[in-house]
Amino acid sequence: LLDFTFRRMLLSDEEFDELCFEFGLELDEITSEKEIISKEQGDCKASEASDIILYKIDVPANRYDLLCLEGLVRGLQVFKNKLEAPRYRRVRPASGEPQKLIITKETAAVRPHAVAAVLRNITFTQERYDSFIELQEKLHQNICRKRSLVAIGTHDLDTISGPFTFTAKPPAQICFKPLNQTKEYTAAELMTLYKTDSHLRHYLHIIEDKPVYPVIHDRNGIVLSMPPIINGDHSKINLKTKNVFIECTAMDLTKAKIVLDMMVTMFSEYCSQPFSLFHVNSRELAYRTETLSSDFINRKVGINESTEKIAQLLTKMCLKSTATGAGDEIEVEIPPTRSDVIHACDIMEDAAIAYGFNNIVRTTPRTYTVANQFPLNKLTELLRQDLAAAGFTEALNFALCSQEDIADKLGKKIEDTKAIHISNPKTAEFQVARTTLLPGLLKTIAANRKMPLPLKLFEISDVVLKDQKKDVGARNSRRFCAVYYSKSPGFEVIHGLLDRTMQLLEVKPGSTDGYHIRAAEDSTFFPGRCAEIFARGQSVGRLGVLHPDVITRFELTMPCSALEMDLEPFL
Amino acid sequence: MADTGVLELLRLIEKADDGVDSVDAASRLGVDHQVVVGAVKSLQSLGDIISAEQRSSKHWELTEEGSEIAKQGSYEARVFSAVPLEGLAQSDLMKLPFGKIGFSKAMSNRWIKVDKAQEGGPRVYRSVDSVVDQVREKLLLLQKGSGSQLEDKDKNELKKRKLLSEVTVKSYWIGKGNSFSTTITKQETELTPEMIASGSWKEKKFKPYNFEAMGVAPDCGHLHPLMKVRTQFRQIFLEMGFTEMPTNNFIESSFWNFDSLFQPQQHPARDQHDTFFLSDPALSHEFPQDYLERVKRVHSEGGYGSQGYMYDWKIEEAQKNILRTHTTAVSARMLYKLAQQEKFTPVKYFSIDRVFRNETLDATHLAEFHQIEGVVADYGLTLGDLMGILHQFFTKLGLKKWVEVGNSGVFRPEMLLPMGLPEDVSVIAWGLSLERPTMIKYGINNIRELVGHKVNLQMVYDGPICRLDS
Repeated sequence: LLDFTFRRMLLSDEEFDELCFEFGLELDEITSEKEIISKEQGDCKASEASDIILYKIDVPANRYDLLCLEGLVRGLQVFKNKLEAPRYRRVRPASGEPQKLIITKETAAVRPHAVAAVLRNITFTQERYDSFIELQEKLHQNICRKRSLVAIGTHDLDTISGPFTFTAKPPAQICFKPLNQTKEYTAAELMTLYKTDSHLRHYLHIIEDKPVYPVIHDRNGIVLSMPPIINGDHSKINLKTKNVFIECTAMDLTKAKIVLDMMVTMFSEYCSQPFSLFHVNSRELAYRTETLSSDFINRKVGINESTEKIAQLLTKMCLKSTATGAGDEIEVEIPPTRSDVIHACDIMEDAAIAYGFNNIVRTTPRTYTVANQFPLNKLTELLRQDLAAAGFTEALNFALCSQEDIADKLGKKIEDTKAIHISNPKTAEFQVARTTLLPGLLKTIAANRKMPLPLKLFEISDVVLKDQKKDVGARNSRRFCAVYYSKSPGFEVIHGLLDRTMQLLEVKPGSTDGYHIRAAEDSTFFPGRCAEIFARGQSVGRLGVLHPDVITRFELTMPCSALEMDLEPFL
Repeated sequence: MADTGVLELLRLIEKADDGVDSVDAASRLGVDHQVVVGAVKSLQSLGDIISAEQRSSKHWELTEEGSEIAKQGSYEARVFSAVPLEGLAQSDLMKLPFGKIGFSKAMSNRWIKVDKAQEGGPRVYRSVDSVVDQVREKLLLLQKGSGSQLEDKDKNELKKRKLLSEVTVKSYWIGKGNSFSTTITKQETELTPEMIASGSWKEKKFKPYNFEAMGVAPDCGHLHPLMKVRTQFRQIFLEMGFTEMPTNNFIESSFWNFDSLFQPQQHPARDQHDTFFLSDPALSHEFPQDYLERVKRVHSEGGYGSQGYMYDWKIEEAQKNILRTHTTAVSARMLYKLAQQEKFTPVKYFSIDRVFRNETLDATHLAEFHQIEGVVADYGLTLGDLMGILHQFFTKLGLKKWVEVGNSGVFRPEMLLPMGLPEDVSVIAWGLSLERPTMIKYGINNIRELVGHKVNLQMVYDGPICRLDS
């Protein structure tokens, strides 16, 4: 969800909140610039800021048409029947030929697609201009995936002359004066210059390693932009600009078209012929027609409305609809602003919003089913209860941890752990998934050293192990781990807990069908104080007194005994 | 014996009309005050036999030196009597233990005089025939408890001479209680096996318990609060007829976590900043091949009535292993499995398990949390059904404002139809985190106090049982 902030309309806060809800949006916060700054940086910094009220609205992620004030107001006005949905038109210039954008084959190596359009005779005001720039930035951050998929360039058409060429050249051969600089740079120099630019440095990686960089120039070789990094200074727009040339270069043509359509449809209302624009050699700004039945809508939403009523509801949502008269058929026209509508189910959702979610009668599905528990979870639930009854307290630790936790600190090598490794951890706490529950319990004790002794803790949870037999190459394993921490090691306590657990699992002592423990070597445990647990002939885990080095590495000071075993063999 | 003086005290109280002060009682019974206090306490524990109101009073007491003077006379009086009619050498007088102080006091009282011109040093003579030892008399009065006859000036004078000190005495004003009686039976502290065997308990009186005190804490283990809430959520789903999904697979391929759900490959959620990717094992290799082809087609070209996303779908992106970002990956596997059945049967599924996000951490966000998910698949489900079942679920939770804690919706046809589910089957689903309602329920502000090793064990020890609807 995206935050959207805009100025107060002539409605009370409650009325506006209600309107947003009806329209399927959430009014997140009512605030002001002053309040925002004061919250983030303190009151003293906020004293200069504006106290004009701002609304923060959560917009569904794919509703790019609601990202700017122009689109949102237009949508709400249509919804309240105050305005008919505008029809966006592609027109040819009154005089002369349409502009052309030539795409050369070199671009295939770096950024293969480009689309462009012209907004003619536009009148900017400061507010409109700011909104125009802001929409561009919001699109860049969202659908354009930080310019990696699509980059938008806007230019004053009257400073350049077409046809325009989108090509790609080695960095050394690109030379121009970039936006807001005083001299010319080669592309290679620019990449160095922007390394330290707090804003632009985030985009350099998109083309940095490519042999050629994309560039758009006009017929005289004037560079318009080097997408997705920077525009040329020559063609920059300002408040007085009359004709705006908009180009979108992209890795994904579908998204480029959506972005361009969004830029032009949102701002064409400020042109001398409102909602008209000039697409450059492209068939875009397409209206699409979907045909569906009112029965489909009624069935999916769970309402019973006439075909005409449903057509009206959809029209309120900027989806101009008509009952064709053939049965309950409705023809729905999807405007270029609604790239999010890709299936009849999206139309159904808009019908439900227009009908009002609160007006839909709540019903109970008649789906008859018999419930089953997942057997492993059922066993876990039952065992947990009885382990608490045995005097042990349940801990709940993270599944992710550092390599050190599961290896070095336990006196093991990471190669021997079967641990899965995370490639992009932000900190060491998320390097691996745990392969044992023991470190978590020891950390819990370390964080609760002030509590009276003895500390008796347990956890039943999953660890993760690499397993070639699984489609993803790893599997979970349900474990039971318990620790006893006191002035004496208390091996007999942990051993007693094992006996009790086996009793609960209906496994009797005995070497063949039952369970027994046998002395074992393990670097986590004190020499001679570790045993392996066998149940029905299978090794299921270990118990023993922890090695003093392990105790020290977890910042503990008292002797400690522990038990860890697999639960899955007992299903 | 705690009962010392009890009966005597009761008799005394019986005679007194308005009650008696414990100090007074002690002097009348000729015992130490502490004995009376002990008797009062043991009588109080027997019920309403007496009333006792604590009070404090001040009174004068002779110091050790004062008592000695009361016995032997003041130093000046002793000096006076030590001086014979024929006088005494001053140096001899000064050798007496009370000589120095007695001499100067007797001098200032003008009881004696000194003749410095005598041969062999100064000599002391009586200057009056007899003296009255007022200091001693005053002290004797005080000792007898008749200090009220003295003026404050006198008492302060004696106090200055360290012969007298003022002490505060805590005493009881003792009167008759509602069940006053001069005969009491000895009370037993506890019932014993012998009393039960002999039946002697019938005759005995038992000491009342102090119900104000706390009991002894039982020696026991405790379940974790978040897990207690999990148990309740499981219970709610089971009550509603939902079957539990096997969610014990934290590692998932991008295919099942994203692609199968019709999440485009360039979606921000698939970014390195939001999802934990694996370096080992980095890729998944086995997929249901024909299903994978259908998923690829619906993303890149559309179909099933959809425009698709019209982009170049790559198997390499789908193969990438991740820590699952939602349990919906398991729902997708379950729905795919359901679609492979010869005949579709309606299902209701649920799960509560861990999911992982590579997000920025704060007081309410961790890199892992528990997701609660409910899924219903049947013919002809409506949005009204979704809202109805959500209402039932959240009513069981006792949550009125559920909109804020969860997400819900209808799965898209682009997700369901490639799986092979019948066209008129709808799947409704909702999800929420387990931690959020738990924090609300227990009033916890920092998630680290609840989940992970920094948990406050005292909070776990003190936790109540979990009844979500109350």
